[in-house]
Amino acid sequence: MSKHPKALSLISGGLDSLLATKLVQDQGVHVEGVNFFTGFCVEGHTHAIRKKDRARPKRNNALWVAEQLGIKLHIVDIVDEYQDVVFNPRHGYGAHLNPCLDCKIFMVRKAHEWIERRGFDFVITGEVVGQRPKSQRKDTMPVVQQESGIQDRLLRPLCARNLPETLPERKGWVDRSRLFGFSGRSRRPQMALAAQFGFEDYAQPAGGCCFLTDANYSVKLKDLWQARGARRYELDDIMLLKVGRHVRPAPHFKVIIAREEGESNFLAGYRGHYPSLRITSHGGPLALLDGEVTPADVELAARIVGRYSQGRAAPFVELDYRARDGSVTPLKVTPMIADEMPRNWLL
Amino acid sequence: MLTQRITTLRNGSPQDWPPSPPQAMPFFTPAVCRKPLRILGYHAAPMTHRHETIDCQRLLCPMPVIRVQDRVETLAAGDTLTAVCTDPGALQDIPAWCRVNGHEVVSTATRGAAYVVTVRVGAGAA
Repeated sequence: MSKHPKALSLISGGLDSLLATKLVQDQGVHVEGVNFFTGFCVEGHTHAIRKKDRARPKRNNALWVAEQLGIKLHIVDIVDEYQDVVFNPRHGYGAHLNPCLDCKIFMVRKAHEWIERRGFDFVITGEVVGQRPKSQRKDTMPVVQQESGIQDRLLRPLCARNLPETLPERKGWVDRSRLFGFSGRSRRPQMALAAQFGFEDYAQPAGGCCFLTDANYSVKLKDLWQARGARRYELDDIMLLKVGRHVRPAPHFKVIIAREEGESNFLAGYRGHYPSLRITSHGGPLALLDGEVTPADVELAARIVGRYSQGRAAPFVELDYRARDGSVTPLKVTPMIADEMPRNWLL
Repeated sequence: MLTQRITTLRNGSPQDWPPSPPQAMPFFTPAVCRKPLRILGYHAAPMTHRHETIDCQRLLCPMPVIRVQDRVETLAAGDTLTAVCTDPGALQDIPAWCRVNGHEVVSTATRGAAYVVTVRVGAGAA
């Protein structure tokens, strides 16, 4: 071998990228990891927020994988750039708002740019032919290589033997015979390989690692775009979609109501950015108002919040309405009764 | 005893005798020096290290880790950085990030609703 090759591995935190990286690392290649943060990543956010889950051990799975492998991990914030992938997926969405193929192309392109800047030789992914219906099919594998611009500098160690030879294999940096030819949706080969390497306690997120594959989340995101009249979002918007009940009584505003104390504490951090309501006469949640609201809207929102408080059966509940500027107005309203609130208000 | 005391004062450890070239040369090293100097064949570390604090409140992991990572890239080995966070996940994630990237966690603490993590930039920092 004429040089010591260097590779960058896309680390999602799941099993496939862990195994793919290990296979290349064991062949003497220097590997570092990269983890792209889109804002939609499922990474224990709600666990961190909800009080009942706070005692659970939390970990960032990508960091856990890097630690198992003993490699450096670079976490890259792509929240802003990723908006274009979410809004205009050239290859369309999956079952919900998940632009999986465009997402993979985008991430491989970013990884390609990274290796060019830092003098690395190739990129590794944990893709497996036939593993995912949208992004990991036999016919989409070359699409990722072409549209990302990486061409044959992309190695997929778990299914490499089903695919044409890549540059690292031709150059002898990696021995093709020590790679695998996995295909299909079965996870058994990966689990057997994990056992062989002695990996235990790896993450197996149901439905992948992205909120965009979640039906409920996608409904709330579509609602946000509709209400804004434009497909745009800030990081705070997509974080708040993961928290609380979202009730939209009118097109121009919605109410985000905490479901428990941990969420109330989390939403309290946003009181400088959104008007808020807090029940003072009874136990109850904190709520934020998203949109430009009139006094009548605030009263309606207060009645909705009252419905979710311990005073729901009381004739009145008292609340403090806190405007963005910090001014506080006391309110006294009749809580909305359960049947009074149309079902379609709840997103 | 005196030898041990002098050594301890210099390096904090009595194990290092005879002395290797001094790690700090306060007489020759300007306080603002950002990079180690080579003077008369000795490596002279800066006399003072920079300390910075970043506000990661309201950010959910991995954003606090990303903020720490991006700020660490602007610092030199030995500098310290304190991150003030509200996501308790930061207490696990920032130390994990330090372990895989060769940095040191100086302290972790809970102050009211905030989780405060201080890290020292490692020698292998970019």
